[in-house]
Amino acid sequence: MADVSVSLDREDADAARDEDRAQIILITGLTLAVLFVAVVLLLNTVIYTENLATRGVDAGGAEAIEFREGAVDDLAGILHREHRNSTDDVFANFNASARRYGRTVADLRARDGAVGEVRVDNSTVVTGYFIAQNETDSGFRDMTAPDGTTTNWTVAGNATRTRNYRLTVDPGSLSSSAGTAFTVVADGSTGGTNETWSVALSNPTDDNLTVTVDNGTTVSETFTPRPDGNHTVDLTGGTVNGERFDALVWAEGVQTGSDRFDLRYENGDAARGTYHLVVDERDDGANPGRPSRPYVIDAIYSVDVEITYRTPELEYADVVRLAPGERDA
Amino acid sequence: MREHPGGTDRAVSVTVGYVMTLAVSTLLLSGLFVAGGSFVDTQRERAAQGELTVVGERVAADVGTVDRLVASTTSRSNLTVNRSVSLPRRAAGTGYRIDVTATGTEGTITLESDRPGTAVTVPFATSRNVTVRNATVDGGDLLIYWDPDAGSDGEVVVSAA
Repeated sequence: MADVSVSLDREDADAARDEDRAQIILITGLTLAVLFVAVVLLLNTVIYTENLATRGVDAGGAEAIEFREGAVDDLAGILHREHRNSTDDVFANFNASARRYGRTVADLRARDGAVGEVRVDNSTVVTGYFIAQNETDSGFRDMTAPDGTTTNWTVAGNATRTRNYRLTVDPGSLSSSAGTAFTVVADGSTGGTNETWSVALSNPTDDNLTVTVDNGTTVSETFTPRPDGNHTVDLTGGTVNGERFDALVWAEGVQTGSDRFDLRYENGDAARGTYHLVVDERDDGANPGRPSRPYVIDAIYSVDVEITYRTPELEYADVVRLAPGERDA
Repeated sequence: MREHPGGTDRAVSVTVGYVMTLAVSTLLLSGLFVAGGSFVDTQRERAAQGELTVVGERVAADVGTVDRLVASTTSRSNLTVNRSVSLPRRAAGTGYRIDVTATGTEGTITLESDRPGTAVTVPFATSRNVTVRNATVDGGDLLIYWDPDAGSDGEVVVSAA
């Protein structure tokens, strides 16, 4: 019995001694394990940050610009349409259309998770006149005065600014020599800059159009017609049939934004076609009778538009002056 | 009694062996410790560098966004641009500072960790006539906005949200 108990005691002691062994390795192992867990956590945060780098960096900046440009273009179209079609109050009609447009784009943007607002600021309206000559059932009319006979006449007296000025002419009706050609003159000699600028349209050969700009020196260039046989000259845009003509800078040296000038036609019988333009001032005011040539209605020369675009990351608000087709635009 | 061969030297090797084992294993393990510690340290520094670079590039991109919006407008005085950016408060476990310095159209964003010796510089460029205000902010959520009244022609400002 005694032996057995002794041997038992000895075994207990051995077991106790075994349990105390390898403590250094154990502690080291544990500490290293903790260290490695720390490294894993660290690398995890790196992965998170790198993930930030892969997200789109622009945060809606491009969409905001696109929204603004789109709204300005669309409102320019709406404004032109109202000038063309309104028979009564252009301002009220334009406001109503612009509000409807604002609601529509707000709806569309809401689907993309953005708030888009377009608001026309009525207090900033600069009034003007829309002057246009249309095509009739029997075709183009010549560029003479409303009486139908006066060939040299004033389209807009005492204007200071012009925008969206387009002329469409039939080359067959044009004079072949530059001397007797139909000429658009911006004349600042009475109360303005005392300069005169003009552009003459003539037809030398075939259906081509020669545009001669006189801004002190004379520069001319010849253009081939559009597919329908006519020529469109964008006087404020500086293009002929969509093609850039560098010398064609509308009323260069005459239109300064503050100096007055007369917009005149010379040899109006030497061209047949249509035209439309917006001026800020005009001596004779409006003449809204549609059959007249040209007809003149009250118009909006320019107006400020407030544009807001908001996403969770970006808030963008801008005020854009809407005056489509200005020379500098 | 019979004399033990070797006398009192007997069983010494067991003790010596035990001490030796202890010494050698302590040496080995402390070596492991040091190596492991410096490994973690290196990783930490690399992680901090990486994170600060990413954060810096993000700030530069957002300054660029505001800059583009400013450059594309016609009337800067009526413009509102607020870009809120959420960034981590800490990079690799320590706070950091963002330092924006610009001269003319070029500038740098320096991100400096609170652990000494870790700093990252990210360059950026803005459009002509768009100035960026020099600023130092703590890492975390930021607001980058256009202040039309500041300076001669407005400034892009980086500030804490």
